[in-house]
Amino acid sequence: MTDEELEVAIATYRVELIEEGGLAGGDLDELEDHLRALVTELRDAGLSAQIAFVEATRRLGQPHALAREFAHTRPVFGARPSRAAAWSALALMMVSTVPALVAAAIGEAPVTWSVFAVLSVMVMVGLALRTSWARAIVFGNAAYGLVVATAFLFTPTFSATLFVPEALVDAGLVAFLWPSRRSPLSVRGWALAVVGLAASGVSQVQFTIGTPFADAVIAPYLFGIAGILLCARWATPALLAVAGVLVVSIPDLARGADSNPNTALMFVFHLASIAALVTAAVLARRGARGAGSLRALAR
Amino acid sequence: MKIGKDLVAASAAPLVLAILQRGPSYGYALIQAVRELTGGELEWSEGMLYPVLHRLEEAELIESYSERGENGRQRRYYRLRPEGKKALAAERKQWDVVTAALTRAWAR
Repeated sequence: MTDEELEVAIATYRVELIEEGGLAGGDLDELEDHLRALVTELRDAGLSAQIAFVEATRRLGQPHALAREFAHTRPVFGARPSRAAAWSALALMMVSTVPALVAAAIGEAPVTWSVFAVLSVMVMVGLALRTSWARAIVFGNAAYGLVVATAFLFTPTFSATLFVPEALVDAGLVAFLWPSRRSPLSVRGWALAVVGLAASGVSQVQFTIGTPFADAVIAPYLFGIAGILLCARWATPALLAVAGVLVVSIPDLARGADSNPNTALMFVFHLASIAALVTAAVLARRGARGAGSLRALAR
Repeated sequence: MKIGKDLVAASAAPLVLAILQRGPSYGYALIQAVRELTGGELEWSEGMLYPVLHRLEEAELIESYSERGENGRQRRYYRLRPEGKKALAAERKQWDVVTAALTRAWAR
């Protein structure tokens, strides 16, 4: 075996690990580094490149067994946030949600806000417990908030007092929960993060277009999110149903557009929501395991 | 002599913590240290070390950082955090109790 053939063998080993799924870039680098160190040690001991490689992979472990072991330690939705990151993000979230929660509690907010209030309390508890799912959801929503704020910057209805504080909170959340190489999101985590990007389309259908689509969209959307959280196969049809409703409602969106100064932006968000829903549906399918179980929520 | 799977699993975390107490290290060097300490009796599937390291990092007992190794490549090093030192001390007390009990039991 020449040195080039050894390089090919090492690259192949890495590809096999990638194909098993569930390993982050940093994990792959670390295992490759280890494999190289083993091969060097064994060659220095007098073994041929070929035998050194075979013995090194035996000692390090076969890709399939390794990936399975890694999957046990990696939480379902990706790395858990560190204590510092989780609690900083939680403090930021409280700044922006507590006023809304109070409004909901004293009954001065619309019903949808109460749903929002319950959900945000759930997510904040999840964040306090440093769960991987809360991290994915909060990251996705904050990233979406930043995109919205940036988009509105270029419209006549932009208001600094309305957008800047929110945008600052969102920028902080994105920074604290950023999926780095060392602290990645898994496929399921990305599904959760991306599904948040569809919120604009869903709320547009709810508030701008109204019935009959309003009733048809919110239930499957919540089902879809619940499905991703439970790693269930039914998440995918639910999300695709929401995407379908959004597609069907495009003509109605166009009809109501005259009264809205941000028509172009509305369409962009609508189409982006459809794309986000389809992406989330595909990711959810890749990460699904049967009918779903609550176990995924533990970490 | 082959040491049972359960015992290997149970001793992995305290061994890693104890080795890191001497100073920061990385995966391959940790395995070498384990082999040295056990005279080669404790056979690990070496890749299984990393899930152990990830668990300890997630529990915030150790932390990792990236640094260029002596081979010129970026390498992930691990070091003990103050919480890890405390955990190691607690772990050590437990193992002392177990080994003392076993030693007494076998002496009879």
